[in-house]
Amino acid sequence: MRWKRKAAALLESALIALSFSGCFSYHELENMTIVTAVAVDEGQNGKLYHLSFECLNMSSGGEEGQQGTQPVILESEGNSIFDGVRNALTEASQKLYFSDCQEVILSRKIAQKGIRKVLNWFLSDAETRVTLRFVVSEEPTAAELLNQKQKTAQTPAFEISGALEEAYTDSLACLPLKLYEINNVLSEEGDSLTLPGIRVEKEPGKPSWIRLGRTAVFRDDRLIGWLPENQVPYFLFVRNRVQNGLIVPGSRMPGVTFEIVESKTDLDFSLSGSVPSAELHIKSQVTADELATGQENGDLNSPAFSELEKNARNTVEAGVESVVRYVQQTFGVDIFGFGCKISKKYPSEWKKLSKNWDGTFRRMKCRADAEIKVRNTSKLVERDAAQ
Amino acid sequence: MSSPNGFGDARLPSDRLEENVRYIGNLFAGDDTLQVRTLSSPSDPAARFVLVYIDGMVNNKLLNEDVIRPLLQHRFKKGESLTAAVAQSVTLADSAECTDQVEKIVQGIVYGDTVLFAEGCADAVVMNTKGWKMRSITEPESERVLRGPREGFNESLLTNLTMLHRKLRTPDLKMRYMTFGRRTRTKACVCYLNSVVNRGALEELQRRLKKINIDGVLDTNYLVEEIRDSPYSAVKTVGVTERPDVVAGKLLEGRVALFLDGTPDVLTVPHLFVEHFQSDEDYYLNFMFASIGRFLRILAFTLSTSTPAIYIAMVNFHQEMLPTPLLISISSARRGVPFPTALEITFMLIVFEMLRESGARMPGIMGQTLSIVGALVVGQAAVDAKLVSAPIIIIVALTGITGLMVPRLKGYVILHRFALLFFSCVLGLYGYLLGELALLAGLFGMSSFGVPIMADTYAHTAQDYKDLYYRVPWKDMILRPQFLSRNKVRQTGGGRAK
Repeated sequence: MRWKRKAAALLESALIALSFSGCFSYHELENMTIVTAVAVDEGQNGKLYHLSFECLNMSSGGEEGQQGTQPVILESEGNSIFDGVRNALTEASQKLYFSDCQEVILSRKIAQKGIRKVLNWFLSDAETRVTLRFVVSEEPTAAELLNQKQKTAQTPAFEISGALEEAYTDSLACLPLKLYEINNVLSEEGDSLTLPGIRVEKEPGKPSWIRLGRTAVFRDDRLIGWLPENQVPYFLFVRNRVQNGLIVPGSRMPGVTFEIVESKTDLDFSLSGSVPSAELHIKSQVTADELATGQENGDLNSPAFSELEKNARNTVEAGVESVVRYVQQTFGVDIFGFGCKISKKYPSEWKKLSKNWDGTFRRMKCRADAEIKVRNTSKLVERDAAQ
Repeated sequence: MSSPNGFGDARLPSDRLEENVRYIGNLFAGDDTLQVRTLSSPSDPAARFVLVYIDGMVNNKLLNEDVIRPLLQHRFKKGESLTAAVAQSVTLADSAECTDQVEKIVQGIVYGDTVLFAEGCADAVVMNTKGWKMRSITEPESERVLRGPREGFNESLLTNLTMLHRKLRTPDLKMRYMTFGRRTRTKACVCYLNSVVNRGALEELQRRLKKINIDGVLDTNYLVEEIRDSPYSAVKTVGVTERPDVVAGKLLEGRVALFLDGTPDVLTVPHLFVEHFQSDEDYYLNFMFASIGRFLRILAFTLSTSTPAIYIAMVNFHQEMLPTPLLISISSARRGVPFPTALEITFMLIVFEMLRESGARMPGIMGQTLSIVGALVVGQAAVDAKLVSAPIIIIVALTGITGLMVPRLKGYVILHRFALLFFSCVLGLYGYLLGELALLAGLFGMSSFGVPIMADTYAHTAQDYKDLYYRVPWKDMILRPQFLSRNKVRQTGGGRAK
């Protein structure tokens, strides 16, 4: 009878399914140690790497698990990253689980030696995500960042990742790159890597805490220097990675702050002559959030306001040109991606230029022109349509 | 339905009154409710009669006034056949038949007719005096509506057919009697609208009904299991309802209805899968509200079968798909729990089903509520005792409560919930998808009396969507579902305001 055959087939498939897989290769959640951050240092005792893992402390119960308790820090040494991860099992009672890892902190020495070997395992392992963020520690070691007690109730891993997220969307403090973006930059010609730096602030009498610091500059995959914090916003302008942030003209116009609503930078190159030259066209829309005294109720159409705009323009143009010059003179690596853009726009010329791109980059001339449009002030006063 | 225990072609033995009466009495020996009343007409002492009936089945008033009184008052002429005279001119009963077939006489007696034997006649008169106590027409318990008619069928075939007649006052409505059951001789009726019905389904139904040869039929479910497609499947391919307006609606769409004496459940064929999600008040409430209700029911069905399976797949195999805070809270909730997740879920689902079943037979609606609340309380206690983890209780509660939203698919949902859970435990999300594919393949292969049960879901034209996941206003429902009936046009023009 047909139904007997069907029933037999069903039973058989159930038995096969049981022995196939699954039932024996499942992992229970509570048998995993969830790693939230990894710090990579140089190893002692002859090993290449010393890894520190910040893991969630589960024993204190559900709601408080993430905040309010000191996380568990596991340490291990190994000759490769994977080796270090596996050696952590000597300290941990369970396997480490990396899918929730927020970021990887590299120490200065490791960064100076070259980060490609470090990136390799994180890129290829199935558990680690390619959206992992990488930062460089400005302190001598990376591990001490994980040992800080935080001002807020979050663990260092979530602090740093939160700060990086905020930095990307709300301020111009750094350019947080994810693993796949780092990989892209490293494999492209004509572009050099930068990573955000993290440092520890100490004040006498108070506990120390973590904050975002200068931006690390790399030649290929080796750390060569640091870009000062006040140059970083203009660096972001050149790279067209400005989402939201502030332009503070500073001493030019005391008391004035512009909040960037939208910004776009276009790069134009002209390759005539012995060295190429770049022209940056910056178009931004800003709102004037803080105005100098006497102008709070200012009329947007008044000449005093256009004076404001002109000053903002000058600030940005000067800042951008100065950061390019600074990088050319101090580091001599193209962290702005000029080479990359030239290779895409003028591929045949690029073949010649790419041979000594760094040298050519140092001699490039760069001009910026910014168009800053003040949409309104924070008092909801709308601009005349005619303007 | 002729049967081995029927009387076939047996006739009354003689034309002598005492012999006939004794013959019938012997058939009913041991049945003390059989009453025998002898009378003789005052005008002609030779005209002697015997009335045989079963006490309680007859309406005594009818018997007294419409049968006995005219009998005693009539002046019989000499030489005429007594039974013929009684049947033609004496009795006031609305149905009187002269017959000498034992089969008809016995059937009449057992169903509340009175049989009159006369001296010198080889046949008897069967008169309709039926009258017994019946449950009054009430709202069916399992098919409550907020708005709409509150009538429900009761156990009398004739009352039920009357209720249907009142809704479809057209000679197009055909009703064919049939009998089932060798011992119960239960009467049934097949109803349909002649100009609209799906001929194929009707013929198929009649063909299958003719093949039934069973001892007794007490409820339509006996018939269902004999005639349905896919007899071993949990999916209903024959619809059941207790409401006359539902039956009328289904007849208007081209389906066939089967009534059975003694039960308020009426069958409708063919039955599509989407009918499980339709509720009659969909048509009595505002179409927006009804559409939301229907959408929720489909969603509830999906959730009820899939939730435990997806939870297991996520938590045991695909942890990287969970957001970090959820991961942390589930992980810490599971600290100290001894059993693996698969075992926990299976155990709690079984406990929930047990509690629900035990509450189902409790009188009143309190039973259902009590059992659900009981399940949650027991679950909470289990969590406190660290036997199961807290997220499991939520999953099981969600599964159970959504399962109650589509009560007609209860058996199907429970069975396949466990099947999908098993597949998911074994192969993760991949297993769940394979299991789901297998279920769907099974569903799409089923048909009900010639109509594929999932016919609606692969709509060919926009018309077919009008009553599927939502219900459009009546003025837009111009055509009938195509596969159900050839006679497509339901209304022309519609009551549109110009």
